[in-house]
Amino acid sequence: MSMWRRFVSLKIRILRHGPRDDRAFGLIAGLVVAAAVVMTAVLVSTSRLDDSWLTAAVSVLGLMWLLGPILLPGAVPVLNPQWFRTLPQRPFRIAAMLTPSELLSVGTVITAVALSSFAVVAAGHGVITIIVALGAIVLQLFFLVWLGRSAGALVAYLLRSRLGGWIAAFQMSALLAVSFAGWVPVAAFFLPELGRGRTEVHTGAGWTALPDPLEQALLVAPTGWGMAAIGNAAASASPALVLLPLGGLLLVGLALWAVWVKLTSATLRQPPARANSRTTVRTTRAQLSRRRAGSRRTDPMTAVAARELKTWLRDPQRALELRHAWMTPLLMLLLVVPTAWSWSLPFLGVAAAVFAAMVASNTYALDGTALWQLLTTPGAVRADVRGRQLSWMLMFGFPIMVATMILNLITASSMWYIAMGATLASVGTACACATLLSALMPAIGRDARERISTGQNAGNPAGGQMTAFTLVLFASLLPGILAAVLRIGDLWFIHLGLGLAIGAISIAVAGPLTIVRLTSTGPELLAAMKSA
Amino acid sequence: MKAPTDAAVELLGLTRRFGGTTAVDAIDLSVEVGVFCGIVGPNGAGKSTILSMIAGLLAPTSGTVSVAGYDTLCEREQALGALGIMMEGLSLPERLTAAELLEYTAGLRGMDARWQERSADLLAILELDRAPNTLIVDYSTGMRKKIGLAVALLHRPRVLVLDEPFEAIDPVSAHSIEELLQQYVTGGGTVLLSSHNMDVIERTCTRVALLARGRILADGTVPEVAAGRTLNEAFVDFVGAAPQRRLDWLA
Repeated sequence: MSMWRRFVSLKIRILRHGPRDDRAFGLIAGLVVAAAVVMTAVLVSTSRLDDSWLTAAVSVLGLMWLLGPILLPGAVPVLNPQWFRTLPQRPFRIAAMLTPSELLSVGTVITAVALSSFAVVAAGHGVITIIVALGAIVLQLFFLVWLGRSAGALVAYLLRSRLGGWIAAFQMSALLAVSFAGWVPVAAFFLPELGRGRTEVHTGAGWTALPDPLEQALLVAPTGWGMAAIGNAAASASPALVLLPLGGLLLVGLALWAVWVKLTSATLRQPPARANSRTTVRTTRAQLSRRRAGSRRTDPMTAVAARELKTWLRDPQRALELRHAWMTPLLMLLLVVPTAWSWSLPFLGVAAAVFAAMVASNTYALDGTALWQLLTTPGAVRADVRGRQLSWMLMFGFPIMVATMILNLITASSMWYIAMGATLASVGTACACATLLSALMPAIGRDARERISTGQNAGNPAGGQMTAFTLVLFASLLPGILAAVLRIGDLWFIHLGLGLAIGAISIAVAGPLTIVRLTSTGPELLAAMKSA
Repeated sequence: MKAPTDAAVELLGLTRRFGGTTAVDAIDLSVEVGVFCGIVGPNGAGKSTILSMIAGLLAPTSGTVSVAGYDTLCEREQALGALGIMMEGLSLPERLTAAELLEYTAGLRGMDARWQERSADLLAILELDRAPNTLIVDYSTGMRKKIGLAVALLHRPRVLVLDEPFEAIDPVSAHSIEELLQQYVTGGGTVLLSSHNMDVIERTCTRVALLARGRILADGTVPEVAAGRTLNEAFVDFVGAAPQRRLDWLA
C-alpha cells in the first residue's frame, strides 16, 4: 500500500475509534450553518434575495476557515506530523503524502455541503453555468481547505518562538475584541443618543442587497471567486472572464498547499530531542527573593499565591492566556473610544472579568499531576484554593476594579454606579468560577512537565470557558435586575452594595465547594491526568 | 493523641482491585522504625499501587494502612504529616526553580524559619545549586529525582516513601541519593522504596519484600531472601524467567 493510502487509512481509523463527541457536535452545528447557506442560495435562485448575500455567506465561510486555527492555537492535527519524523523518507515527501488525509475532515464535509449552493444558483442558467458551478465547488473547496490548513500550520510555527507567541496572542485578542465589541460602533451609529437615555434610531435606506463597493470587494477576494465565475457564466461573459477566477482559485489553492507542505516539512525536521522551555530565572532576583523569604515564616496561602503569580508568567499556555485576558479588553476599549458610546467604557470591566475567568478556568488541568503534592500535604488543598483566588484577584480582580473606577472618572458616565455594581459582581463571580470550574470541569491535556511551548496540547477547556462566560455575565446583570425589581434602581449605593454582596458571596461559597470537590475526587483527577 | 507504635508502616490485608483485575491481593507488611526497606517486583507487580495507597493517593478496596501508628483513612492529616513522598512519573510545580520549589513547599507546610538552612543543605548536597536559574520543567531525569527527594525530605518526615528513586538516572546521581538516604536512616528515619535495580536494593536495603502479581512472594532481610544467591538470581527464581529460544533471523 502506498504511503498516502496508509495515512488516509490511519486517519479514518483514528476518526472512527477516537473521541467523537466534539466532532459530532461540530458536524451537526456546521451542517446547520451549511443548510442556511444553501437556503440563501434557494432564495437567490427564486429572486427573493440578491445574489450578493450568497457571496457574503461564502465569504463568512472562508473567514471561519481562516479564524478557526487562529482562535484555537496549539490544536494538534489528527495526524500529528511529528509521529512520522523517523520514517526513512525526505520530510517534503512525507508532508506531500499527508496531503490526501488532510482533506478528510468534518470541515471539508460541511464546506462541501455549503458550497453545493453554487449548483443551486446555477441550476436556472443553463448547462454551461452548471458545469462552471460544479468546477467552482471543487476549486473553492480546495482553496478553503488549504487556506485553513496553512493558517493552522503557520500559527503552530509562530507559536514556537517568543515573538510569534506575541503575534498569535495579538491576532486572537483582536478577533475576540471585534467579535465581542465589533457591534458597538454599528449600534452607536444607529443609536447615538442612547447614553443620554434617548432611543431615536438613525435610519437609512433598507438593504435589499449589499452596497455595491462591498459586494465588489467580496468578489475581488479569493473567497468570492467561485461566485464571480458563476456570475460571469450566467451573464454569458467571455470564457476568459469565467476561467480567470477559477484558475485563480486553483493557483492560490496550490500556493497555500505548498506553504502547508513547507511548514509541515519544517515540523518533520524538528530534532527529536526534547527542547528547552527557554525560560531562565534571574539569579539576583531569585537570591533576593530567598533572602527576603528566609527572614519570615510564609503562610500556606501566600506561598500558593506566590507560586501562582510565577506560574502565570512562566507557563507558556498560561502566559498566552494572560496576554489574551488583558489585550482583548484593551482592544475593545480602542473600538469603543471613538464612538458616541464612550459612556459605555466603564462596562468594559465586566468584559475584562469575563475574559479573566475564562482564561483561568482550567488551571488544575494545566498544572497536571503536580496535584499529588496538594493531596499528600496536610491542609494544602484549602491553602491552594484560597491562594489561587488571591492570585487571581492580584492578577485580574483588583486591576479591573481600579481600571473601572478610572474609566468612570474619565468618561463621567451617568451610569457609573450601574457599571461599578456590575463590575464588582462580575469580578467576584469570575474569581469564584475560575478555581471552582478548574476543579469541576478540568480539560486534561499534556502533563505540565511535558509542556514547554504553546504549540502543544494543553486541553480544550471550551466547556468550562463557556460556563464561566455565562455565569459571570449573568452575575454582572444581577445588581441591575435586583435594583429594578426592588424599584430602587436610582440609588447608587444599592448597586454598589448588591455588586459587592454578590461578588463576596460567590467567592465565599465557591471556596469550600472547590475544597470539597478536590478532597473527594482529587485522587481520581490525578489518575485521569496521569493516564492522559 | 495516639502514641506511635514500633511499626513505621503497617499494611493489613491490603487489597486493591481495578475492575476484574486484582492489582494488590491481601498484603500484610510491617516495616519497623529505622529500617531501609525495598519492594522489588516485575512491571505490573503492584509496587506503585501499594506506594500510592500508603501515600493516600489511592483508596484501598479493603484492608488498612497505618503510617507512624496513624491510620491513613481515619487519621489522614497526622499520617500525611509523618510522611515524605516521592512519586515516579508525576509533575512538580514545574515553573519554579529548585530553590523556589523548596521555599514553596516550606510555606505550604507552614514550616518555621529553619527551612532555609535545610533547603540550602539539600540543594548543595544534591548539587542542585549548580543550576539556580533553571526551571524544574527543564531538569534532566536525575535532577528531577534529586529535587523530588529534597521536597520529600525538607520537613524531616518520620517515614519516606519513594517510588523508583533510582530509575533511569546516572550512577553519580544515584550515589548522591543513596548517601542521603543512608544518612536519613542512620538518623532514625524509615525508608520504603520500590525499585527494579537489584544492585541498589542489595547494597542499601536492610530488608526486602519480593512482589509478583499483587502478592508478596518473599519478605525478610536481604540475605534471607537471597538465600546464598545474588538478589537478582533469587528474583528471577521467584518470578520465573521469560521463555528463551533462539531467533535464527537475528543470527
